[in-house]
Amino acid sequence: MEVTLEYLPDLLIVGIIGRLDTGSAPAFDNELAPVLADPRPRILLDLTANTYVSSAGLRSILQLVKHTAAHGGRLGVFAAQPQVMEVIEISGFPSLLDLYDDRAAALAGETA
Amino acid sequence: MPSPSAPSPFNPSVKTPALRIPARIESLRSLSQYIESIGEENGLSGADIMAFNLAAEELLANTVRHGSPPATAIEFSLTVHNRFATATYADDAGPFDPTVAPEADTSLPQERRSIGGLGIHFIRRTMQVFSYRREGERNVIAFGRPLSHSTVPPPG
Repeated sequence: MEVTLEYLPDLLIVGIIGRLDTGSAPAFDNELAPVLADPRPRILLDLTANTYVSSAGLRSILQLVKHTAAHGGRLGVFAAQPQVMEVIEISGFPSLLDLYDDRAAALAGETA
Repeated sequence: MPSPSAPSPFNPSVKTPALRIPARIESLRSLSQYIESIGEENGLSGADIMAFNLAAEELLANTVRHGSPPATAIEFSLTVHNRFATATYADDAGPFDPTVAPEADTSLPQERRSIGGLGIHFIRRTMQVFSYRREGERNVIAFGRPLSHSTVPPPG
């Protein structure tokens, strides 16, 4: 699992490459910790290359939901693969974040 | 790699290749490789493989997190018969029944959400069978569901 970080004006795009599971979630959390030391009300999660999310992965994503909300913002998620979308939907997460099909839609949504 | 099918203390009646792995999070990779291998051989769809991977990961994480006394090993098998896929997961930890875990409330707002119970919620939502029994010194969990749409034509 790799994490990519892209800093745009007033917006952070976090990319997840590979699986976000019990084994890799701690590494994800560790990479995000210094970034989240600063308030980030607007974060987009890029799931284009994310192949799998388990409940452990959702725990990490929930931390981003809570962080953005605590700073007056909201987490956006784009390009989830179908099998990952199913996990997101079963978990009830769609009501907690903004879902977009792709990067363009997400950026348009975030700057609307 | 799946081990040859042979009677074992875990399941003397197993007839299909089973996987025996240490009860550690690092074993997750072997578990998912096994599920994908058996799944592809038996025509499981990507959605089926995903569902079995999620369930197996959840049970492994519970074993490692809650086993008391701790588990040393896990035995896992996935079989397909009459287009129904069944997995059997067994660990040698002290008694622990994950099927009675309280379920997550997925309607709560973010400030009240936690992740507790979400993995079990997945299993209940995606599996038709999810049962626990205590057999001697091991916890045995069976779970399964009919195959979803498959690219492999049925025999005949």
